[in-house]
Amino acid sequence: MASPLDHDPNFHHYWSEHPRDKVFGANIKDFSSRFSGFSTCHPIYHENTMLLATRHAIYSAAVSTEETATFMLLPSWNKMTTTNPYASLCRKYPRICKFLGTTPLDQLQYAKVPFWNNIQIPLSKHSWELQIIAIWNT
Amino acid sequence: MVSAIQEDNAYQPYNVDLRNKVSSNPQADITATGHCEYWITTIDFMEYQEESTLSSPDDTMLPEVYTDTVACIYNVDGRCKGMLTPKRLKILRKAFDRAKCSGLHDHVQPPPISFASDLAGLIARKDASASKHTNKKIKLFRMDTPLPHYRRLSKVGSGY
Repeated sequence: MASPLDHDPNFHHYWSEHPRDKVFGANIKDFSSRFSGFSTCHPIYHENTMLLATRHAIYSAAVSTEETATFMLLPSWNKMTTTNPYASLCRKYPRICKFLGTTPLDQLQYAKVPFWNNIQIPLSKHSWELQIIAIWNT
Repeated sequence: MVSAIQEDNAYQPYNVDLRNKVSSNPQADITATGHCEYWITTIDFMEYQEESTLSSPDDTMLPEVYTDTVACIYNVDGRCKGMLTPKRLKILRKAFDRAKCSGLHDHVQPPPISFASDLAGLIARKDASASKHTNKKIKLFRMDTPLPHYRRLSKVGSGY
């Protein structure tokens, strides 16, 4: 889930929400195919998108017959993560969802934005930690 | 247009419609060539200052200026629609060429005219997307009905 403007070229495949991004090699319709094998999912920080991605990862792991592990990177807006919809969803499926750990605030670094349309505005200082949740069918 | 701003007050809230009518990067604009282009060039930028660090509108301190080498993306009218780091431009060029070689361009409508024109489109889409995500009110969903697809598929016993 990225844009050609910000995807990591080290990954062979990436998904974009815009069909036209196919001209830059993007896959589209991110929830039209299962997550399979080992993958990382770092969705945009939009509550509904993060919820859908988490649900899709759980679904993929549940129905797949092959080994599937999706490592979700999800922000923890505050220490009490119980209010996050995706955290609530993970708690409902403890056999599939395993909380691996948290990248602390002071060790979390985002890459610089490689594009801009007006003025180079740096990302604002983040105030959250990043949770790593493995969603797998082991 | 300028006089209207001056009459109202230059410190009025940011007017997006008005801003979109003028060039985003007038210092980088070129003479119109009639087709999209990208130029790797050196541009002077104003250092970004967070609002909290700004004092009153009467503050006469000039902003910091720095120079950087960037890839400017131009529309058919010669206006700079956005900028990329040269590194990102290289990544996009590779991705574009690889997609073309693998036949992905054959099924895209309208067919790509050039790398530059799709770059301009990419910038425009990103702007629209950012605006959508900024303006859209986030809805929280009830969590007592998870995985409707899973339940449905369990019933019919089919694959994904």
